[in-house]
Amino acid sequence: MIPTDPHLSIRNLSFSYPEYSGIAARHLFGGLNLELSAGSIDVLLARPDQGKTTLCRVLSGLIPRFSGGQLSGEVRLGNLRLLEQDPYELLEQVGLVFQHPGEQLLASRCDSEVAFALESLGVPRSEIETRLAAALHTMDLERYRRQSPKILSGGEKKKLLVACLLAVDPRLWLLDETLEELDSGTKRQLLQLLRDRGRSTLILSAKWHDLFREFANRIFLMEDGRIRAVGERPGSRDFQRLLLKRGFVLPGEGRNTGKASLPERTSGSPGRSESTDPKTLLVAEDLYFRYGEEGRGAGAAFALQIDHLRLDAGRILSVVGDNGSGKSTLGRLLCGLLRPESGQIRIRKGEVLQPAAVEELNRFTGYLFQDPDLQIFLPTVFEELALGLKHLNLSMEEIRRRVEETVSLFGLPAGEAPPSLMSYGIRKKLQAGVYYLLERPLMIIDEGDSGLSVNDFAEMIRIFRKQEGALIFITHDHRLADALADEVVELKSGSIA
Amino acid sequence: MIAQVYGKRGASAVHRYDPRAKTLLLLAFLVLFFLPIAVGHLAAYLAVVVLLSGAFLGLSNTLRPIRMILPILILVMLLTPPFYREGSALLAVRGLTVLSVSGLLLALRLIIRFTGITMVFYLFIGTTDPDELILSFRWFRLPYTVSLILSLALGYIPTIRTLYDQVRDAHRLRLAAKGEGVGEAGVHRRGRGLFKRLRESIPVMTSVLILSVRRIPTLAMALECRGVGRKNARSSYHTLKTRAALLRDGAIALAAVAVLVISVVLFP
Repeated sequence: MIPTDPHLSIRNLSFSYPEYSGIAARHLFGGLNLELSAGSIDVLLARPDQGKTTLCRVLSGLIPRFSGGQLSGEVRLGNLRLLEQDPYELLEQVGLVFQHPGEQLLASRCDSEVAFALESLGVPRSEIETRLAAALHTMDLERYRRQSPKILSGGEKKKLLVACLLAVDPRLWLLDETLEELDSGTKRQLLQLLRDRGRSTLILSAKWHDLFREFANRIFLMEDGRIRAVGERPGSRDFQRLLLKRGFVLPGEGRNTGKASLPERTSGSPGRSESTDPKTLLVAEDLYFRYGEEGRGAGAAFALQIDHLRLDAGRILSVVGDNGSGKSTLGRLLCGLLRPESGQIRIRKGEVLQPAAVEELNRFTGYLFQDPDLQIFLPTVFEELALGLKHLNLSMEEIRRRVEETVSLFGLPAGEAPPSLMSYGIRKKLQAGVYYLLERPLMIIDEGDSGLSVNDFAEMIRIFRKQEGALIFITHDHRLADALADEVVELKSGSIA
Repeated sequence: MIAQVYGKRGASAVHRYDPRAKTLLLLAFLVLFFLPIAVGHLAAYLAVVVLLSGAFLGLSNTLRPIRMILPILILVMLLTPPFYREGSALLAVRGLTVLSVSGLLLALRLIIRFTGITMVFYLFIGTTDPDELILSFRWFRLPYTVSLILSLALGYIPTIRTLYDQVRDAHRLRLAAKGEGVGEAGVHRRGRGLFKRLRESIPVMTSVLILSVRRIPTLAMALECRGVGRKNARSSYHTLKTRAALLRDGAIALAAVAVLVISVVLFP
C-alpha cells in the first residue's frame, strides 16, 4: 500500500563505485542521512563531483543497478522501500530529470516523448492526449509538439523533460541541476507549479539561485559524503556567509548590489573607431541567419539578426537571454560553424580588420559546446589535453609541462584519470582546459556555468582572462553575467534587446 | 541524412503509405537483391528503387545515401576483380588475367546489391515515423521490447549522423591549423582527396563510437525511468492507419510483390 503523503527518509546511506582496472573504488557517501517533509521543496547544494547525480540515481533505483558498486542503508518514500524497487516500478513515485538532457530523450517527436511514460503506465489514449497537451502548454512547448527533440536548445530540452514529469506527476520530483540552462521566467514558473501542486521536490544544484530563498523550505549542504541542513532562514547574514565561503555565490551576489555597480549593457558599440583601435579583435555587422526546416523544424522558424557586435581584446562579453533566443546560434556563427545568410564578420589580421572566411573563424575562435561530451573523446585526461598540442609540433617535454600546468590551473584529476568516469562538472572543466591550451584570440563558452559552482566558473573565466584575448560566455544567469562580464548583451527572439 | 528526411515526414505518398504494407515491400526488395539473377536485371530493379526515391524524396535526398557509401563501393570495385579472375579475360598482361568478365560482373553485383539494400532501408526508415514503426512491428506480433529495440536501433541512425556532424565540427574546431577549417556542415572540403577525407574521418568515427558506447547505460536508465520493463499492458498514443487504408495499401504491396515475382520468373 503506497501512501498518498510521501515522506522521504534516507538513513545511513553508503555507496562506493566498483573498482575499475587501475582505478581504486570511489567512496561517495558514508552514512548519509536526510529527511524531507511531504510536499516541500528542498534544495541540496553541493560542489561538482560530490555525488549529486549519484544520489539522484540511487533514489530512482538506477544505481547500483546500472553501475555496480556497494550500496547500503535505507531509503523510504512513505512506507515504500525505494532501494528494493526497480526503476520502472517507481514511475509514479519518483521522477528524475537528468542533469544532461540529451541522455534522457528517447523519442523522435516531442509529443511522443511526453506520451512515452504514460503509455508505459497504460493510460488510455484520450487521457494521454489531455495530459500531454496540458504539460506542453505549461512548459510553452506546444509549437514543438510534432518536432524532434533534437532541434531544441539545451534549456528547451530540460523544459521538455519537465513536461514529461508533469504529465506523469510523480510523488517525488528529483531535479538534478534542472534549473541550470532554464531562463528565469521558466525557473519561477516551475517552482511555483511545484509549490501549487504540493509535490515533494528535491532540487540538486551546484549554484545558489535567488529563487530558492522564495520557494525552498529547507537548504541542505552535501560535502564529503555527508549532508547537513544549513538554511532554515536562507535570507540571514550567516547563511549568506556560508554560501560565499562554500563557493555557491560570488562576493556581492545575494545582496542588492544596485544598478550602478553592474557592468554596462551594450549592443557592442561603445563609440571608439573599431577599424583603428588595435584592441578590436572582431566586428560582426548586419549578420542574418535563419534555420531552415531541417534546422529547427517546420513551424518553428527562427532567425537571428545582429546589427552590430564588437569584441575587444581583454574584454569579457556575456550573452544572456531566454531559452531559444539564439545565444548558441550566435556562438556558432562567430566560430564559423554556421554561415550567415547575409552580413559579415571581420577579424583582426595584423594591423587591420578584414572579413573572415568561415575557415579563418574556425582557427580564430575556440568554442566550448554546451555539451562537453561532444568535445571529449580520449581515454585519459592527459591524452585529451595533449591532442591539440601535438599538432603544434612541440616536444613531448613541453607538452607534458603545459598539460601539467593546465591540470593544476583547472583543478583536474591526475593525467591518467579517465574522463568517462568523471562528473559532468569536472568534464566541463576538462573541456575548458582543452581550449585553454589552444590559445585562440576569441573564446566562446556556451553555458559553461552549468554544473559548476559559481566559484569554479569564476575561476575558469579568470584563467581565460589571463590569455588577453576576447571572451564571450553564454549564460542564463544574469547575476553571474553582471558579476563577471565587462559588457552584457541580451538576446530576445534572435535580436539584441 | 535520414534526420533531414524525418523532418519532412508526412509530405509524400510514401510517407503516408501504411507501415505494415511498407514492411512487406521492404522484405520483398531485400529478398530480391539477394537473388542470384542477372546483373542487368538487378540493375533494373535498383533503378526502380532510385527512381521511386527520387520521385518521393527528391534528388538530393536520394543521392545522399549513395554518397555516404561511395567509398565502400569504390573499394569493392577496386578489390573484388583481382581476387576473381576466372573465365574470359578482359585485360591480360603476358598471359596473366588481370581483369576477367566474371570478376567484373561479381563486383557489379555486389555494388548493386549493397546500393539496393541501402536504398530500400533508407526509403523505409526515412519515410516511416518511428512510433508507427513500433506499432507496425507489434501488429506483426513482435513483443513490445523487441519492437522498441528495433525502432531505437533504426532511430539511432539519424542520431549517429547528427552526432557524427557534431563530433566532426568539434574535432575540426579543435585541430584547425593553417589551411584547415570546417565551415557549415561539410561544405568546405574543396581540394581534399577522397583518401585524405577517409583518413580524417577515422578519429571522428572512433569518437562517435566511443560516445555511442557510452550512451548505452544512460539509454537503458532513461528507458527504465520511463517505465520500460513494467508488467502491465502498455497503451498507445499513436495509432496505425484505418483498416481500409491497410487493405488498400496492402493490396498495392501484394500487387507489387506479385509483379516482382513474375518479373524474376520471366527474366531470371
